[in-house]
This record gives sequence, C-alpha cells and structure tokens, in this order.
Amino acid sequence: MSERPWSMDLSGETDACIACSTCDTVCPVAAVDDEFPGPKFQGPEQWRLGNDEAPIDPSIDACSNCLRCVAACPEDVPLGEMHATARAERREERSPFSRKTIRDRLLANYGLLARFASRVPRVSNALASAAPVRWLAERLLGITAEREAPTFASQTFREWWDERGGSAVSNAEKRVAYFHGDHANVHDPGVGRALVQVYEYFDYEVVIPEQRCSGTPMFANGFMEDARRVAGFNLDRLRPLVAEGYAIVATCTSCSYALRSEYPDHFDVPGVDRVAAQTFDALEYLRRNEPLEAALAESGIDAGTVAYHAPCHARNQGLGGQTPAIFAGVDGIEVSDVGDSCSGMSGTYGWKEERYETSMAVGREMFDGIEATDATVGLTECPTCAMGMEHGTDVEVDHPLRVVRDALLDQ
Amino acid sequence: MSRDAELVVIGAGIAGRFAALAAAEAGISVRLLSDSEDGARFDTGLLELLGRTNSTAVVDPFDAFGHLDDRHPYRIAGLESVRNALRFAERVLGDRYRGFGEDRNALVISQQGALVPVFAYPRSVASGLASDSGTVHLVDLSFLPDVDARVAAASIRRYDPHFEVTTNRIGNDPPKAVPSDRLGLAARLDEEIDDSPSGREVLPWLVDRIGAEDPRGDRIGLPAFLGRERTDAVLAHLESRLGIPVFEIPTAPPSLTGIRLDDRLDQAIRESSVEATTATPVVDYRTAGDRIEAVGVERAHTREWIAGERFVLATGGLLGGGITEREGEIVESVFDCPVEPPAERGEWTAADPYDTQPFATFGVDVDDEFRPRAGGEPCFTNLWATGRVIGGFDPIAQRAGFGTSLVTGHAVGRRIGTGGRHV
Repeated sequence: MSERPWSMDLSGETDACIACSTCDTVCPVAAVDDEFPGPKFQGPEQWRLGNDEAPIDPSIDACSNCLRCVAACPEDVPLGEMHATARAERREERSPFSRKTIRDRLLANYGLLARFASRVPRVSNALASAAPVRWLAERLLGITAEREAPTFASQTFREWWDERGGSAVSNAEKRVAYFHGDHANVHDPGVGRALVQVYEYFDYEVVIPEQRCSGTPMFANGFMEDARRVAGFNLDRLRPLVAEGYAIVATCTSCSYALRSEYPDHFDVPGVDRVAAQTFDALEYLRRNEPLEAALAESGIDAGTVAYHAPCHARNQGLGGQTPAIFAGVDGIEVSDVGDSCSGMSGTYGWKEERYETSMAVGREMFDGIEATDATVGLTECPTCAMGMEHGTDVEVDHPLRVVRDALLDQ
Repeated sequence: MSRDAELVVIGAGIAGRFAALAAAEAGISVRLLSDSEDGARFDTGLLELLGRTNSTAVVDPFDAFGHLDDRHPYRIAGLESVRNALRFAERVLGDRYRGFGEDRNALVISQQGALVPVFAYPRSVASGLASDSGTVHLVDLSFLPDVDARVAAASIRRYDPHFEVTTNRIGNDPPKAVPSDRLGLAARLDEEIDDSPSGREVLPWLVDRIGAEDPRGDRIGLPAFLGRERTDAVLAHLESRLGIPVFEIPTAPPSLTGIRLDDRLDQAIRESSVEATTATPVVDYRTAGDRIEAVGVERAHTREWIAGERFVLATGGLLGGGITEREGEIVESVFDCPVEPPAERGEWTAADPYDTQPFATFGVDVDDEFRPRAGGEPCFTNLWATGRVIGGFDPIAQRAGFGTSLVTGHAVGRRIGTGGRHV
C-alpha cells in the first residue's frame, strides 16, 4: 500500500486472521445486503490477496463503519484500521469533483457547516425543513429527504457557557475538560448543560476547550487529511490540559471513541497516547471516581420503562452494560436493553440517499427490540443513533446524562 | 467508586456465562468481562456432555463417568453437581432444547455425516436423530456448497450400513435475489414466515423443490438455515406443507444452531442482574498477599481497575486465548497460573492432524473446588477456573466441550453465589 501519513503496514496483522467468518456474521450491512462481501473480504482478504496496483474494491463504500466486526473478532485483527485505510485509498482513486465525493465531504465536514448555520438558527431550521430544499438536497447532493434534519438550538452550548461566565466551581483537585462535539453544541445544548450541572454537583471544575469536530465522520468517509487536521487542532488544545491534570470527558460515544481509540491508532502526533489515556465517556468517568450509583439509588425518578440502545461505538469502548447498570438501583425507572443491534445510522451513513434503505434494513433489528420493550422513551449516548431510533419507532429519545441530572437535582 | 463486585467473571463463553448466571441467581453481584462479543458463534449448539471414551461412542454418559480419570472435571464436580448443571441449563435454554429428560445420549447427524453422541440438542434437530428409527432423506442446496448431502450419506453408511438414507440437491432455479449464504437465508425466512402467503418467495420455492422429489423417506434433513429467531414457525410451516417431519443438520460456521444458542445466552445475561461488558480485555491484576484484589481492564487505551471479592477465570483454551504461547512457552494468559505441557515441543502435537492431539489437554491444574493450583496449592485463594482453560483432559476427543464448560461454570458460579453451601 502507498505511503501516506495514515497508512500502516497491516500485512503482518492479517496473519492473525483465522478466516472464522465471525466478522461476517455480525456485520449488519452484510446481513441485509447480499451484494456486500463483508469485513473479512474488506480487511484480511484484500490485504492478503491485493497488491499496490490493484484498486480498492468499491464495495467498501457500503461499509457503515459501525465497527461491530472489530468487537467480534476473536483474534484481534485490526479490521477497523484496515477499513479506514481502504476507504482513504479509495478516496484517492476518485475524482474530488464527483457528486458523491462532494456530498461525502459536506457530510464529513458537517461541523463547519453547523458552525455557520447555528448563528442563524431560525433561518437554518426553516431551510432545513422546507420541502423544496430537502428535495434539492436529495437530487443535487444525494442527501436523503426521508429523514428530518436536526434542529438548531436558539442558543448554542458555547454561547450559554460564555453567557454564564464559565465554571461555577473552582477546584484544583477535580477538573475536567468537556469535549462537547458539534451535535451537543448546536443541536442539543441541553446535554451539555446537564453535564455541567451533574459534574458541578460532584464539585468538579469544568472547562470547555476550543475544539473542532472529533473527526469521526471524516474517518467514516475516508477523508483522512481532514481527520488529521481536526485531530491536530483538538490535540493541541487537549494536550496541555491533560498535562495540568484535567481529564477529558465526552457525552457522545463516537467523540470519545475517536479521541481514545482512532487518534492513537491512526496518527503519530505528540501527546496522542497521553490524551487517549485520559479521555472518558462522561458517565464512565463519574462512575469511576464518584459514588454515582449510591447517589442515584438515594434519589428517585418517574420515568417508567425506557428502551436503552448501546451505540456500537460505546460497546467498542467496553461501555455496553454501563447505562443499565447505573440505573439498576434507582426507583421509578426500568432500563430495558434492546439487545446488541446497530441503529443503521452510523453517523453520516444513514443520511446518504443511496444508503437509506440499507440503513433502515439494518436498523430493523433495533426497531423490533425497542418495540418489544413497550417503552415510550428511548435512551442512548449517540446523537445519530437517537435520530435513527426516533425515525424508525415512536419513542422519544433522551440522553442518560439528562436522566441522571433529573434524578440528582430533582428537576 | 462503583461498588466492588462480589464476583468478577473473566470471559463470556459458555463457561463464563453459565458461571455468571448461576452466581447471579444465587443473589450476588456479578461483573462479566469479555474481550469480544458473540462467544458461542463457533459452537454447533449441541450439548455434548460425554460422547466418547477410549474412542468408543458413549450411550449413557453417567455410566461412563467411571471411565474418566479422577481429576476429570466431572469427577471433581461429582454426579450430583453435573445433574444440577444440566437442570440449570435446561431452565436457561427453555423449550428450545430437547433430550434433557432422556438421561442418555442421542445420535445427531453432523454436516459430514458423522453420528455425534449428544445429551441435549436444539428442537430443530430433534426429528433427525440417527438413534431413532426411520429413513432419512438429506437435501442440500447447490448454492450452499459447504454441505454436501451425498458426502454425508456415504459417511453415515460407513458408520452404519443398515441406515437408510437418500439424498437430493436443489437450487438450480432459485428465486431471484435469494440470499446465497445461510445467515441471509435465515433472515429471509424469518421475514417471510410473518408475511402473507403472496409476499413469500423462498418458502414456497423450498416446499416445491423438496416436495417434488421422491422418495422422501420418513424425515427430511436440511442444513441449518431455517430462520434465526422464528425457527419453530419456519419448521412447522415446512412440515405441514410437506406432510412429514423436517430436521436441521448443524453446520460449521456460520452455524445457525450455534448463533441461536449464543443469542439465547446473551438474552439470559441481559435479563439477569449481571453487568456484562465487551471490549474489556483483562490485561493485568493486583494482589494483596494470596488474594487477587483487582483486575486491570484495557478499554480503548485507558486502563481501568475492577475490584472484586472473588474472580473466575473463564478465558478459554488455545482457541479462546486463555491458554497461549508466549516466547516459546505455553502459558495461562491472564494470571500466569502454571501450565505444564510436555517438555519436548515435538510431543505437543500428533503427526496426523486427525489424531487425538496432546495440545487439546493443555490448561491449568485445579483443586477440588476448581481453583487453579501451583505445586498442589491454589495460586490465589479467591480465583477459580472454569471451562477450556482447565487442562488434563481432552474435550475434543471426548466430545465433552459444552458439557465440561457448563458443569464447571455452573458449579463454580453456584458455589461462590451460595457462599460455598451448594454446587
């Protein structure tokens, strides 16, 4: 494979593959798309059988980057890295001006678009929901009109934070830096506010570093240079904070996965390992360092049965059982895990017009799991999983952190 | 901190999940840590308790216990404990499995036409027991090339020349867009069974092609692809249309019978109070004297320490990674409990790949409570071992893989959960 800053010689790692096909059996895309050869082909087979001249098979475009193959492989074959490298190679082979490339670049750089759109939320919301605009987006760009666009909040999280005047707690011993991600900032600042309230309840000093998109949609679409650019920006801001004793916490499990797993796997940037070692999911960190479950068990909440869907990127961080365990001892809430399924969204994937049917077919197992719980409320840490859950079922989806805040602060 | 778990189980295969379930049922808090997901997908899903001793097929496994070495897990556990484990498995697996009440082995036809002695088996396999009388008609699909009915039939006749078996192959003109792999077919049948008759394509095609052949014998066998979740309904539909019993043949991976077992065990874990995580490999441990205090879990480049009162090693054998080679030595990969393979490397394998292999016996030595030991003493006072990480016996040659994992997992889980009062 050619020399790129992100490519690695993975031919040695393919030796670990015993061709057991377990990855193929858990791939949600292979399960619904008979044309898709599956992760065993995308990864070890292409590496073993390919050479520098052979083009990457176009089927990699159908891979959603859910990373379930990574979770299932019994031999630790680096499938995620292989697929990411294949996508990047394929990107090199395509024209930068093709409709799909422009569309993918737009979706991958959504953070940039959102930053401007969030300054004029009412106009942006009106445009995003206008039928002609959605029709044009589908015809011109290939962004599906089937899904409702997320709405822009009237005030971003960062604007709220500035207006508030920053942290209400000063504590040299307990300090966290919040990586909020683009979604929480412009679409769902309530999650960010909940994080601040819960952490301040436990007497933490919270800082909000300057940040860009975590890069997840760029990894997923093969724009490795864009990913390296944002990773560099974020690491420059996070590295000094880690050196001063801050832990990095995130409310979106794709953000935490990017920072603690994809950055060190793909980029050789100074400090990347140290930042990765100090990055946590927001509830994971609290659980480790505070008597969170004890505090919750003493409070109560009126939530009834809720259907919890563990995002694939959360399961890959070993956080699959976390949310049900956190609420196990709390009165008034019964968390029902909908099972190991994929929402089908995988970030930008479910928004692509040619992938919409596949994403809905993939998500069907999750929709059935949700319906089987009879819940009217869903819970998940990933914003695009939430979009998928709301689009495919009747539940309204919330973030576990808000439920924790409601329980602790009696709101 | 999140509370210390009373029991930490390392490994979520068959042994690990049964240990966790048994301990949780007894009422203690359990944390189940696994490296990867889907630990039983390789499995055939057949409950092999004890299939062979001294190369002879076993008819009554309980009778045959007397032939086992006195350090064999079944002898260490004791007959009553084995029966308790089987009763527990019966409860967990529900009416998806048959054979528990028979108290002896049945013979299941394998993909290669071997007659496998098993104690309990999935319901979908029940009509096809070779230990039952009746002629068998095996059907394979031309687009699922890894199952060949004629090869299987020839093999069955070698075992038992009086066994009447006929074969057929279908698949020359399947419906357009029929999935060409077992998992895809199973998913399609799951959908079609709930569709109105006009919406179905593959089901009527199967009925038509299988039904067109003559003779059809007393029962028809197909490779296992009859749905993943709606197997009972798909099977009932085929049986009512064809008018004779239909059974599934368990296959190599992708094994639907193994996947269904895995699905059921995962569901049982979710419904229990066990806190289970995947992508949480154990890479380190801390001790206080002769007790393990905590295990270090590697979670995406961060290290987390999970403290517990008791620990169960259920990491598997050479395949699962619990026993592995490091720098030319065979070691137990988490706690470095001693594994004593033969000194000469040449003695680790037999020359013929199909011979009984010495490496199948590699594992840790255990005491009467199933605690791994070094030089006769437990390595740690609060560490127990279950499943394939235990050495000293050959689960493959004895066809006792599932059974030894189930029995040791259940015995250890129940003992710990009840404070040592019950196994």
